[in-house]
Amino acid sequence: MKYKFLLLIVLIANLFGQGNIEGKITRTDSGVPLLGVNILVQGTFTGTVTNSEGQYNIGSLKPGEYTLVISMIGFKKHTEKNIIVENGTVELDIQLNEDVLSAPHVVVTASRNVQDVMELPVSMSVIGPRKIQDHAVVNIVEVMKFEPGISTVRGQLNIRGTSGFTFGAGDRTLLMIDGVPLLGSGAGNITWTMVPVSEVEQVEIIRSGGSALYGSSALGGVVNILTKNAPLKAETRFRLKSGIYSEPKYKQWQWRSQPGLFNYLDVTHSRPIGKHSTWIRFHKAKSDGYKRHGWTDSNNITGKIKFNFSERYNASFFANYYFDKSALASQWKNADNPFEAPTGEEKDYIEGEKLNLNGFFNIILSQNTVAKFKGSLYKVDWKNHSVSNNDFADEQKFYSEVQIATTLGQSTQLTTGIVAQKSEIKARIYGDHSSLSMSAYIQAQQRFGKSITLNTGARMETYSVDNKKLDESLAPQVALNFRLFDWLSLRGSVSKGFRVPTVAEMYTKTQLNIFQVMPNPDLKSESSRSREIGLTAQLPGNQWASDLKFDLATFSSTFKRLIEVSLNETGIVQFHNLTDAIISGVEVGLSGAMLNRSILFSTAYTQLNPREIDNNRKTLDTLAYRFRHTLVSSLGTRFFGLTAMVENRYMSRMEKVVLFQENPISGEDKRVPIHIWNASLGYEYQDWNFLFRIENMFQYYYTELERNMGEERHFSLMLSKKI
Amino acid sequence: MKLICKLTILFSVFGFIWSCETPESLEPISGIEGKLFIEGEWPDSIQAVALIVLNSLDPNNLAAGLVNYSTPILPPINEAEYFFQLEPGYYFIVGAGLTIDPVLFFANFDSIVASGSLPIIQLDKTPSFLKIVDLGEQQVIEIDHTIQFNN
Repeated sequence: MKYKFLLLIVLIANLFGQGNIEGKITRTDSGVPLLGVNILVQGTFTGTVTNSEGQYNIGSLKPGEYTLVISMIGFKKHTEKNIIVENGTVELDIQLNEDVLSAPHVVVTASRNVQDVMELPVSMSVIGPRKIQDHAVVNIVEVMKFEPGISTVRGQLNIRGTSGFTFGAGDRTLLMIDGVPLLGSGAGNITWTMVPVSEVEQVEIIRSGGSALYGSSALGGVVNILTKNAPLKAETRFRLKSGIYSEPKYKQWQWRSQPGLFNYLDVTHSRPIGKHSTWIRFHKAKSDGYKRHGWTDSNNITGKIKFNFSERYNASFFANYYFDKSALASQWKNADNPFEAPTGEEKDYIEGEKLNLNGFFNIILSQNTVAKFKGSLYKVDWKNHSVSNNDFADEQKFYSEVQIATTLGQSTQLTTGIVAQKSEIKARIYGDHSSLSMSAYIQAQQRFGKSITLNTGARMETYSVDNKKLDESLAPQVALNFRLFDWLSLRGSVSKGFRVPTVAEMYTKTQLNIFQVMPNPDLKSESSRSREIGLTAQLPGNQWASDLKFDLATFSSTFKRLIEVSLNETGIVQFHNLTDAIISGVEVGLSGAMLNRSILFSTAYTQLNPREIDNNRKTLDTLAYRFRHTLVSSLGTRFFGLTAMVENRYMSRMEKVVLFQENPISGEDKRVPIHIWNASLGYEYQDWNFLFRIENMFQYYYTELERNMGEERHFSLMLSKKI
Repeated sequence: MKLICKLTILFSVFGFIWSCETPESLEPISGIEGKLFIEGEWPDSIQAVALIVLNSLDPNNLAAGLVNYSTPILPPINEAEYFFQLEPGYYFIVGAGLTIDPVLFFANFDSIVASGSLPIIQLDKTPSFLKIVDLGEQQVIEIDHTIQFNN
């Protein structure tokens, strides 16, 4: 009877007893309290951030043993294990060490849950704000192309060669802003200039197929842009980048009497409003361009409100309005005048506006279960003013998602959801159409012991165009991470992906230079089977070499009915399904610090073997617009507030293109390997930041897309200041 | 000591970078550029007009010396720019009328050239051929060319 009574007391204590963890987080070197540090109770959805005194308090915890994960950009992640919570308060003060490499340590995109980068089951790149700042980029793609497996062709992102170049239609990479997709509904393309670069907290790139979690457009990978939340103190920031293009080094190519200029301005104001917080940003970009008729002029207003109603309810609303006008020279005049526009196209331009509204509402149903409601509207209008066509499009896309995530014990996390997307398109270029897709997904993350994490999941999606069912597909994925040691983890995954053709790929009818682009309404969905194995090693090292990170992955994707652009025998450009294709390859990345962290380095090599195959897997041809070898390297140093960096990007000669050869008789053309060197020198003084940068400093001339000269050398100075 | 180490590394890196040669970079090329004018009414038998470049002249087998051709122009266009990228040397240019659809001609160009018989009509017979002499390194010669259908 006595034992039964005690058992009852314990049971009641477990049912009704609640404890909390509180303390202060400071810098190890100076003891200064840290504001805005993220503290998450591992295996739950409970967490908080520190206030201006560095203090935190996590309440309403049932008695038990907990692990806290403490992270902040610019500091090393700290994990505090074996915290016993009973009824009452656990005091826990923590000191964080500064991390000169500033590489983010946790991600949310790989499994829709917070995960340590050493426990990822798939290959991912993560870019933090420090790297974005060091590159002074205006377009986020410019920093992504220094990651393993990533290249660009005339601004189109290519992850492991999956996309090639698709002429603005049918991207195989899914772009998300805070977890909500942002792809054009007609062309399924990405407008990278819509990303508010100065307000990006973290960029997460899944380098293998992501269809199992994110659906059709994620066949080749996913880029999730996580925007900043407003800090707890009001602040105004501005960033001005101004620069000048060099004249071409050959007299024959020089074409203007005044140097070409470019200017970019960002002004952001952020502040707390009671328990809530907000930021608003204005961005203006104006560039003369490095070639004749390469000008752009754009304006962008972006804002975000984070609502913190209570510990159980929070929400976010993001709005982005962008309007631009830019020159529309499709190619160079000729090989003798590569910086000039073709005769007749000197006045062509395109103008457009885009509006993106998105938001989510989170309800923490219990310590272990959270429901998330997401919705977005993406409206795109554009119009060509061209001698060859006056195409226009007016499209809008609605997106809604309901997601439930729950943790079962300390070892299993289950995420499930349903998604609906609807598009309405009115366009001269591909006619008036509507589309609807419905999907459901489930993802389970199971931990076995302390070292094995298994992710399994699948997504079912149906897709219809003009009320006619086009396709339905199931995309499953199994991925495993084995953390052999604290410093070494192995990973492997197999997945199936699919992508339905976009309205643009099926129905575009227009004139492209001398070519006629014709519709192909018989286009079928493409699918892939992807496999990869990889390893990540992180070594603390010593004073001579430290923070070493080594990543190796080998991958292979087999595509069925891959959709590619082709120039057929009657001279018509059309999207069509290839028989089959395989893209396989290897990625190796190494980064770290030397000499007591005063020298930082990183290098990444990617080898691709992209080929079209027949039904017997015999190679028919090389896939167009892919680089077989890519090597990117950077070396930098920081001392006395000064930063200096040099970086190099090499890509082997593109083996196949589709549209042009300069001399079709001899096969001679203007493709060369790409060797680009950049350098920068920066200085930080109080809240001021100066960065001088030279890009393409040796004036290397190349084409990524045929008859389009790559960017000329340019010098820029960036000033930024926080008030 | 530490500063010396850092400076040594930095200077070594910059030295390495400056010593890097990138010979593959695109450079100005040699060639012939100009405008092609068409005067008179297009005959029904001609579906497009292009300039062709020959490095040897056999009037009975033009395909044998064919080096390059310009983007064809279609009726009723009567003016277009052209550019031929050519190695230094001697060349002949001739205006040619295509007797088949230019899209089919260029899509099947390899097999047509291999047959030795080009579906073209030589248009400008007076002067019969324009001879370009001594095209030098990175030299671009500008020549306008007129085709008169009424003649």
